[in-house]
Amino acid sequence: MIKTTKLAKVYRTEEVETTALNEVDVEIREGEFVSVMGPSGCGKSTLLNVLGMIDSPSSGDYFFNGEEVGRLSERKRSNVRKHNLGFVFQSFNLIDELTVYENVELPMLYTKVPSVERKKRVEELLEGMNIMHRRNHFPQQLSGGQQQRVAVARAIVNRPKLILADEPTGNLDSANGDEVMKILAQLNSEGTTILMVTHSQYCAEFGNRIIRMLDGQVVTENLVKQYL
Amino acid sequence: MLHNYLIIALRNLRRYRSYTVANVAGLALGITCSLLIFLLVRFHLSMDTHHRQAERIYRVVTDMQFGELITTPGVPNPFGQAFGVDFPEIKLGAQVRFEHNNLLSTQDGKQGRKKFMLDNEMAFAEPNFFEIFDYQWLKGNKNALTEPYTAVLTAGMAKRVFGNEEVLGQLIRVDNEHDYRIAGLLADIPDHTAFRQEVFLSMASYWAMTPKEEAGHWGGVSSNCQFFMVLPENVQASQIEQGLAALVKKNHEDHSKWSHHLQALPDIYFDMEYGGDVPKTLLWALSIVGLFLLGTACINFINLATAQALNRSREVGVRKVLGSGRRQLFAQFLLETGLITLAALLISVLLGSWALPFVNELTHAKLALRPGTDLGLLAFLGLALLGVTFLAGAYPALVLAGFRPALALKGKINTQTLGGYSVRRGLVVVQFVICQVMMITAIVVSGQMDHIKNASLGFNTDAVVMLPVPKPDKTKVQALRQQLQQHPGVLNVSFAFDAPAGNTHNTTNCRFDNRQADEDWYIATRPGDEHYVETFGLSLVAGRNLQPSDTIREYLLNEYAVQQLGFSSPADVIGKRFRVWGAWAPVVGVVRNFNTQSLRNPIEPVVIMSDVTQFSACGVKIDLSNTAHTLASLEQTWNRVFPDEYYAYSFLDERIGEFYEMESALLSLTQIFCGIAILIGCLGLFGLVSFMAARKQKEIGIRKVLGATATQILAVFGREFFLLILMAFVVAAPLGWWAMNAWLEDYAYRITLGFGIFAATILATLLIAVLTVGAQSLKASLSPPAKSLRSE
Repeated sequence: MIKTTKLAKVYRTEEVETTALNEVDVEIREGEFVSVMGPSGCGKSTLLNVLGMIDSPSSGDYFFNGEEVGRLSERKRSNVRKHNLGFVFQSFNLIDELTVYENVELPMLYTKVPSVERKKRVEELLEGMNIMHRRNHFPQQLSGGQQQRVAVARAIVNRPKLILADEPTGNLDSANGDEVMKILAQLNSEGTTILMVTHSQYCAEFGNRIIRMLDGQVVTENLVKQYL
Repeated sequence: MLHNYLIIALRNLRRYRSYTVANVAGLALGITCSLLIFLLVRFHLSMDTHHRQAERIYRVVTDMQFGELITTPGVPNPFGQAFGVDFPEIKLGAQVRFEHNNLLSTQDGKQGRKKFMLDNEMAFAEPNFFEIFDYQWLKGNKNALTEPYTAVLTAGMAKRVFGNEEVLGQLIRVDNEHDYRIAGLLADIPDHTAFRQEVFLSMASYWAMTPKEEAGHWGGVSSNCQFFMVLPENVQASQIEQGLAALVKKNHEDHSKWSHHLQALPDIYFDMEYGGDVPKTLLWALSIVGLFLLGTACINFINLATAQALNRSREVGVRKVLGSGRRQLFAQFLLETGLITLAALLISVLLGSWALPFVNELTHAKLALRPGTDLGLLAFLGLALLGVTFLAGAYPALVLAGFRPALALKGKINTQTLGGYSVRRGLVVVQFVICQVMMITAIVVSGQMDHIKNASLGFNTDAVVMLPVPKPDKTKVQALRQQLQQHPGVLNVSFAFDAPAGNTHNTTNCRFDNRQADEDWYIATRPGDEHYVETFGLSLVAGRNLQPSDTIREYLLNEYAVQQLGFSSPADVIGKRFRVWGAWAPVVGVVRNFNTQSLRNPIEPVVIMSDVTQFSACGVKIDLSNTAHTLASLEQTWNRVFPDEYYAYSFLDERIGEFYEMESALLSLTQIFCGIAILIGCLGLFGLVSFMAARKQKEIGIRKVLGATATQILAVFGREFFLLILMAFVVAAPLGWWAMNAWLEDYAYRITLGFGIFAATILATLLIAVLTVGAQSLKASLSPPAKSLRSE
């Protein structure tokens, strides 16, 4: 599903040049649950952003479903993104001015899903996530765990092929974090490919492969124990 | 999607209430002003455009070269007839004589005669006048004015005078001289016409009353006697003007000094040279002010909206991640601006309706705000909605739509990465420039107003009551004088044509002593009796005052006339012969120079002579200790002498004040618009300082940790704003100086644009800036440094 060759991302200011990704080669097959680990500043979030097409690489190739997408225009990237990818963030990134229902519905407005279908899908997901009773609440009225469940619901409402999760449990206590990880594992077991950045070894082991990064490079790739 | 945009827009507007209020208020104020200015400018521009033949209607105007160029919208009395003979191809031509200050009365009824004083509502007109201009006849037709002593009234005037419209055959008396039979009724005249006449008398009546020599006199021209025509399609104005040169040659003795040309109807109202009402430049200046105010409101919006953009960065990031393109985001934020503009627009309509009566009173216009039925107004509002939305919304929307999602989602869009800081600073400078130019304007206009109101006209205007003299009748004048003088509150009484300075301005040719020809300049005539000098406080510089006389026996000149005659000492002309109006008489005295018109005009040569046939006014110098009683006595006395006439009095200083009515209105408008520009500018400043406080949060924290005091922190803000104000001043000062200098050039007596005006402007701007940004800056300077550093 994903293949990168010598993928690099360099941030330049007038005098300083920082290499966030240094010729990274990764491959993720359909149905995998890959965790990316590494110390702060090692480039894992940058890798996620580039693979999620919300940032563009400075050089190298990035193939998504066999198509080179690294050099696509913002408009085309946006099009690929909305039909294929779902995002879950550490800080949830729900829109404060929209209700739970409206937040989950939002991605479908961009993919022009008819309203009846939208309603059906949102309600199904909210039921599934056990937050239907909070559908008319605003994000700030929910607990962290509830917000992240809403964020996950929003990420999967368009039935994406790939979910990109950036420290999805980073702002949650262990019980809520566990719950979110179980949801992701469940989604993966149903066929959704997941790429997750995390600091937590515990969370990383919900996946089946762990990529470790340091200074913008992939240093090791290991299968998680149970898959060895 | 639209629904989603609307929901989020409304929720955001509600959440950031103070931002919404500042934005809506700023835009509403700007739009209200531009809306009122639009109505005002449109009202004036639409003047007399409703006539079907408007594009082919012309007025004949006259230029006379007597030393200096004298222009008048009038023509000599016999012009119309001569024109008819020389230009048979012009089928529609009409001579009109506009009248002023006429007494209209009804026949004796149960309550006696009803009397009405008409300021400018009466005219003598030839029947063709109603073919040239569009009047709607309710009863009768243009032939109603063929016969002498017939009249036509508008329905409104008929109701005012008779209480109903059944007036055909009724008689009206004009100036207690002649009765006119009403032979027609016109529909009321529209608001947007400069021809405010509501009583038309047949021109034949005027000819019947006018002595033959006066009716056929080519040597004089009154601005009241005008000639209009409709040019046929195949005739050009230039052709007629060529023919007019021949007409002048044929009829004028000194034809080289006279010329006539055609003035198109649309120019009549605006051409101040020929007695127009409103200069077009004033309308353009107002339009520019309107655009400035709208512009400053848009700038204000841009500043506030971009400062506010940070609060929306995460939403932008999320939307982008979910698949929104730049265009969609741009459209979304533009829509939000559209909503704010729409709210501002609706408020402006309400504010405008509230302010309209004041504007109408101030500008003597008849503006109406009816968005339901007024297509032009709707178009303006639509255009304002689109224009303001785009102008104010495009830049913030571009900034927002341009956020990089990866940064936006991590909350890493901050005031530094937001960019466009110099754009916003530039915009604030533009706002300051607008504010400062308006301040300079307000200071200069009010200074000039004070100057001309307080400047001496060269005579006394205090405690002088002006009474009308309906008929310059020797017996009545004597009777009135005697009775007035008996009153203890009356200090002096003078009969004259007018006060030394007045609205009526007559000039004539003159000849001095043994010179063989008339002087090549005209002299202003101020007929007045032997009490004229004393009553109006003129001062004699040579010779003596006039002796009592009913006819011209002696002349007084002013110093400037002496100078024009070529003498350096006033004493040199005493005893010399002088002639105006064909009457030779000796110059017996010279008075100090005084102004005969407003201070827009320079001093001119003046002659004073006693001629009872010219006395149409009476100046009464009163003792102000018991004014009410004295005024009541004046009225009683006057009514005893002129029982059939209409009593009206005015204080001379108030009449002089009316010279500057336009300036007063201009001053009020400038002050209002200046105040609004400052208010909007303050809102913009407030936006900028909030933004700056956020931007400098880290800097402030570090400075404080390093030991800076609150005052030193305040200086950080102060320096920034001082620079912006200074930059604006560098542009505004020369701009204001240039504009005001041009305006002041219209005044013969004017203030000088000194350093003080500009110093006051910059000080006022600094004060306003300090008051606006002070609280916010203080808050920032007092916040604990740990907070600002932690947030980084």
